[in-house]
Amino acid sequence: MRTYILRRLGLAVLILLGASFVTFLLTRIIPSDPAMLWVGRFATPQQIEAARERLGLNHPWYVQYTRYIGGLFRGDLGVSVRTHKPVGRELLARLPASLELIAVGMAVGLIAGIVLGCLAAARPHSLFDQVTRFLSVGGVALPQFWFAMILQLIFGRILGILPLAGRMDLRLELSYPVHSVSGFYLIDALMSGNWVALQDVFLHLILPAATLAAYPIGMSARLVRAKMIEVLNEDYIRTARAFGVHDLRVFTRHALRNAIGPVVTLSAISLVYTLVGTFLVESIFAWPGIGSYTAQAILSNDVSVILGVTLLVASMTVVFNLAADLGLALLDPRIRLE
Amino acid sequence: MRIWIRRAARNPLLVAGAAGLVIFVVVAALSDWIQPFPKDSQGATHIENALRSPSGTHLFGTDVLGRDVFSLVVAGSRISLVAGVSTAVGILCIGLTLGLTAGFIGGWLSELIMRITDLFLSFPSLLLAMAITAALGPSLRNAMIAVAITWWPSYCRLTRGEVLGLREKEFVESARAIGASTGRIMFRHVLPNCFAPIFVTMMLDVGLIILTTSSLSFLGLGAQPPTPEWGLLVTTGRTQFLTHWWVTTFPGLALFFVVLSFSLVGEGLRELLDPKMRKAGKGK
Repeated sequence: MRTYILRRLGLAVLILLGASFVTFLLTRIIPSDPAMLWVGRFATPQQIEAARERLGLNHPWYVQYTRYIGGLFRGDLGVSVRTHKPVGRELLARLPASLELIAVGMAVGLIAGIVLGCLAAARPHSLFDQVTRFLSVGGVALPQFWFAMILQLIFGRILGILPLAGRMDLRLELSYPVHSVSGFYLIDALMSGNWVALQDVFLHLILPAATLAAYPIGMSARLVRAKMIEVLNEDYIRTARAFGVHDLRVFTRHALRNAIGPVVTLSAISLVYTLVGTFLVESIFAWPGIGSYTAQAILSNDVSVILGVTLLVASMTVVFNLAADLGLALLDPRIRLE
Repeated sequence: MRIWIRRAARNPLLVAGAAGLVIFVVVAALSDWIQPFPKDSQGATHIENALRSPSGTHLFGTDVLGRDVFSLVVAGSRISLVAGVSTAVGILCIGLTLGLTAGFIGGWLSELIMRITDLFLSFPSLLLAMAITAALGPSLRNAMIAVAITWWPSYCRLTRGEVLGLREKEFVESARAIGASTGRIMFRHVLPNCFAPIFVTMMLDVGLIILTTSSLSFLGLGAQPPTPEWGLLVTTGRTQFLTHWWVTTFPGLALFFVVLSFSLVGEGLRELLDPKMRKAGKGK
């Protein structure tokens, strides 16, 4: 077990090195000059030259790359070319907002998907099953950026029951400030007993989380349905039924436990998709997370931010996948990690 | 053959998806004749007509430049169809060739190809596509190239898996016995036999490819104005969206409709070809 984890982590480092190399090469061929971005539009040639010197752009690319990697080991992700702020600190400050959104969206999506999938598998080819299958294909096919706007229109504008954008109401933020400890507003508000803020934070979360939940709902409902239908045809299910075990117990204890495995693997994939989905969704809801930060950086060719985000997302992908494999082994004693 | 058609007709999702695809292809093919204001999709503007709500003359209303949204959406169907299909063909060419090579020839070449594939698969594809379009410069063509670069690895892996299974089959053995060259065996004997699963996956993916390309356009990294690309149309209507809902709603709806149709067909085909799912269905 331990050797397995160590080997996977070693492989992860290799993958991240490869990822950093590919992205680094990409940022080198970006047509704009980082030094020009650094000094702004009205700079003199001397200023541009000074910026080139400062950013190390006069060195050959392999020197720049090894310097960058060296910086990584010291936790230094470089400085944003556009805002001149350190990328690492900026990402860390924005990460909790994104993670809170992703966590809520994923949790809602997976639970709803699993429940829908089970109910559909109980009566395959019934009307409910057909509707669920349609919804599960639809959830995956939905353009997130468009769905987000439609939700805003319906619930924010027409019905007027949910806030349009942001993480918290501006007035409430002044009168009932949330003292940020973990950066997760829900937890912080709950811990400090700030009920007014908690309610507001919760209301602000609903629409963006619902947008992100569509994909995991679709993926998990489809998978759980297919797997449950397969498992429910097994002999041991018939045996359990013959012994007079209650239907609900057959479902949850005997069938679902055997069908849930692929969902664990899938949740890692969904998590990555959701993470990237925040790039599209956060700017629509003015959510102050890494998604809106990245979308902005890509449009303005802020190479150090693009590099930093790519590495962050790639490392999260590696960690999620490893966590999923370990979780699968815990859940299913038949799987041996070698 | 008739059994297959009958079986397909019993699957309502497949039928709905196929109907959607037929509508999509017909609209895309006849787009020049369907558009009531064909000039609008080529960049003509009528500021005096800006932001009219949907009516008899302007079915989907007009946008901020006074262009007829219905014409733009219809013109966008052809762009999406061409972008989706040609990107898919590109992905297939790269993925199949590399997958065949890795599976059939093996050795260090196979190792190298598969490690590169792993590297690409460890990235979320939209993120990598964003970085590539940022590097190449924003345009629809570059967005398509970026999507192709990020998408081929899954086909490479899929093809290699199929080829590894087929390589030891008798017909390959006999082809080799009568002296067929490696290239001939690869392309004439092995390739056609691994086509079914790849085709099904492709059906599911063409929709998602269109969606990804549109997402890039939405972020400003794909098609540039005045191209009537759906993702771009959704962005351009964003600023007036809450007061003039039709400018973004209809292009997005069209995009959803098309992606959904492809997914339904792919899903339906997969079920049709998977004997396990069929057995479960018969039990009831």
